[in-house]
Amino acid sequence: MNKYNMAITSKQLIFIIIGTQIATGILSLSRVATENAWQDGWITILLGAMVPLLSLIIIERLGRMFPDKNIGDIMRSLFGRIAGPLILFPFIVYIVYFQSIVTRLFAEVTKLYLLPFTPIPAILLVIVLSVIYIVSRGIKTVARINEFLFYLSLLAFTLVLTTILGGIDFTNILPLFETDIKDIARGALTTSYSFAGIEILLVLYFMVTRKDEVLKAGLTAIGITTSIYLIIVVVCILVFGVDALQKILFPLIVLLKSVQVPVIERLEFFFLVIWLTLGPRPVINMTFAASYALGSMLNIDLRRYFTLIVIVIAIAIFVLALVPRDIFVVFTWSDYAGSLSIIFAIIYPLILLAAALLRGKQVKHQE
Amino acid sequence: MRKIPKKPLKSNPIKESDPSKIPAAKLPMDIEDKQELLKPYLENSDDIINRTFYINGSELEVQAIFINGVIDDNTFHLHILKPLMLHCETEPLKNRNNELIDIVSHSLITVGRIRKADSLDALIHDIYDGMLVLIFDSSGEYLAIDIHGGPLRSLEEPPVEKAQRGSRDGFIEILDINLALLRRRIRDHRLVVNKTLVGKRTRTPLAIIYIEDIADPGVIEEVNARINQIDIDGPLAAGYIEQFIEDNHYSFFPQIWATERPDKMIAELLEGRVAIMIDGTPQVLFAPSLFVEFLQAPEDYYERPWIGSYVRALRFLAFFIAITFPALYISLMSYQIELIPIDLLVPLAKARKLVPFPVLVEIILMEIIIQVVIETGVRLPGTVGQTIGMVAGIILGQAAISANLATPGVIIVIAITTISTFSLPSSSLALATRILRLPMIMMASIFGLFGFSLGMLIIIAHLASLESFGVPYFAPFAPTRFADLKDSVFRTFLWKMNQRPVSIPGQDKKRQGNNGQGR
Repeated sequence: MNKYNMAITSKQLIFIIIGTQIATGILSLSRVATENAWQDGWITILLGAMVPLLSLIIIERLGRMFPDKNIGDIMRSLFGRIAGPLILFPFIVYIVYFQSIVTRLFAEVTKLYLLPFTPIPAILLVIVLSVIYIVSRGIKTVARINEFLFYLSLLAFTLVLTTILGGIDFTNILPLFETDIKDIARGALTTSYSFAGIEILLVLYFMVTRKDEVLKAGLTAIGITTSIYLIIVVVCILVFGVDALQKILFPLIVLLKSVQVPVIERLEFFFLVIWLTLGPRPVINMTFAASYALGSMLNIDLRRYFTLIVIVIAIAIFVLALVPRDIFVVFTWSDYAGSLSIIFAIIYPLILLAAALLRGKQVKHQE
Repeated sequence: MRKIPKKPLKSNPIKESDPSKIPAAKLPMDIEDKQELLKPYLENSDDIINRTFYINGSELEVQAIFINGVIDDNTFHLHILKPLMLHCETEPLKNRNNELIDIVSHSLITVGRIRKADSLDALIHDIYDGMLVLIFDSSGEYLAIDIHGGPLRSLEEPPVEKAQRGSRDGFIEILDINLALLRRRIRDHRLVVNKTLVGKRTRTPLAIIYIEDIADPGVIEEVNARINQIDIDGPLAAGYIEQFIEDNHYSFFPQIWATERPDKMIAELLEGRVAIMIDGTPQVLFAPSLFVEFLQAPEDYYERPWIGSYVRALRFLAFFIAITFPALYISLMSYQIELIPIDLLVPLAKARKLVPFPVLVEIILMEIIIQVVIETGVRLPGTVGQTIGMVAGIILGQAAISANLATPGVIIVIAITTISTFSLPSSSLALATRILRLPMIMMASIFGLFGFSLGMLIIIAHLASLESFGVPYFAPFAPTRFADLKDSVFRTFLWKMNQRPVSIPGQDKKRQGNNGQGR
């Protein structure tokens, strides 16, 4: 078994990026999108997609300069043996922080709808243990499971949409283009948080077998994510209306629960199972990225100690996820994480790219 | 491909590490010296027959050595002893000691498989491999004649792999006969059969079989390498080989598919797999194997695609039920009661109230009982096994309900699960589901539907992480191979399967031409 062969195809990259982007945020997305922009919330999704797009272009440009170096080596060659790892470290901390929020939200949703009497730490623990198992099997497993779950989610998604079509009301989305451009921009900033996850490409670029297809794969992934978000927001607006949306914590779950099919009384159960299978996906992907980044930062032999690093990262996520007192603290945290995500998706790679370009000039000069 | 050595292994252990190795010395000319040389190897084996005789009318002494019961006595008497002792012209034999062996084998012995050799180790091995060995006075060479005989099992249909349509013969325990069955069906000169020996003590013959220009050279090399590394006393069954060469030893899932049906074997070879056939077991192993194969049966292809697809989809459902049904029941009954329709819930809850145990205990209890019943049924002879199954299934179940030890719901759940288990065509996979059920039950009883989902996620991840000889095990699902999905849960028309599966690496990708249909 080739557990340590860290190579993925560009097709698998698409699914990993989608899987990382579509996190717990999707549950509350339609509320967030309509908060500022009202019925034009769907425009904010399109605008928000600009952030990962920009990030993709920067990271791809950076990766192209170091096609055969992993993230740790890139850092070392850009900033030296000591400063390089030090600059990489915040990125790992950011992933751990971000994923601890995702994990906590996932656990909170689970507790809210499925396990009202189970303590949060227990739910967190079982999630983290599963993540440890899956991630320690290597990138190929992570990639394959992303692929499988993507098709599964697509299936469930289509089913939900077809059952929901009866309950929509087109007047809910009208009038179009009424909202002030400022509000839409403000909305776009918050919806762009939902696209966080493209940063994973910083770590994964090195593993893709065909580098020339990375840009295309990234664009496809962002395109698919955007369309899924768009459809969900539009459907939520059509079904609930903007005013009602503001009062619902997780509109998507309410939407699932409202699905009614004759004969089969409780279809939502089916979707809950699928949602629960999908939920840990970003945590899996990002834990892998963080573990790999940590390993390459410390120059550890990944063949031997990868599982150990995964356990370290997973424990960090677990502990950090325990910190917030309740779900409202988690939401505040998640706002911070959103801002951080823009920093790490755009500004951080931009700094690296600038350094790389400068370094490249220096090297040329010396020659 | 996996980097193989996990444990340190010597390059060719069978030949090098054996301390009691027989010297490869040349045999002496004189028959007395030969007997002296052979003595330490043969004296403790009372079942080895030494038959000394003289070639008709001459002073030439010949000794026949063989194991009693392994050779075919009739052939020995009629085609070897009779011509040599009675009907032989002695004139050509005189004064031609150098060509003696050739004359005997070319013009006297009327048996097909015969060869000569001249070293001591080969001689000892030939005797113990079951050959008839003739040693001659005044010649350094000996003749080894292959006239294996003795009782054989008939080529009946394998009881565990029955098919309504298709061939009715099955492999047996003798390697050569199995190979003959195969050669009769694939009359292609590119069908390669490589024989080796496995096991220091048993020296079990093993054949690696593939079609030269279809199978992937990398896989062939990998199979050869892994087989050569096996260093054991003796493989008692094909399962031994399987466990030594499989990729992930810690998995519940069988990673090497085995069959007793020649027709199935041909299908596998034609898809580019490498088969491993071992003497002593009717099962043939295939590398690489995919998860979907364990849910497919040959009949799916013999019947029309509609029924084939339907039955196959049912089997996938049965696999899912076999793993998850008790877990689902527990999670619904103990956590997500609101998901059960109210009309169904009331009778279930009423029965529940009478039973003193929690659902988990109830399920585990019934599950263990049914597993014991299955085990009993397997061990006991046919009719008794059935009777036990009836008694345990019907009477015990009924009594448990009336004694309020179990609810009817639990009995139904366990019964459906058990039946589903046995609808799987592969007994190895059925065993895997029997074990996998328990962790699922535990997950569901602690975390309800959430634990159930996580359990499924872990099982899928585990399946996706498995590889069989470098080939993703869970293909064509993950990684998704769209070209192969037409022959996975469902199967399409035979005339549409123009390409060999892409999940299996191979060379000649084109399976058949467009047959002019389906336009």
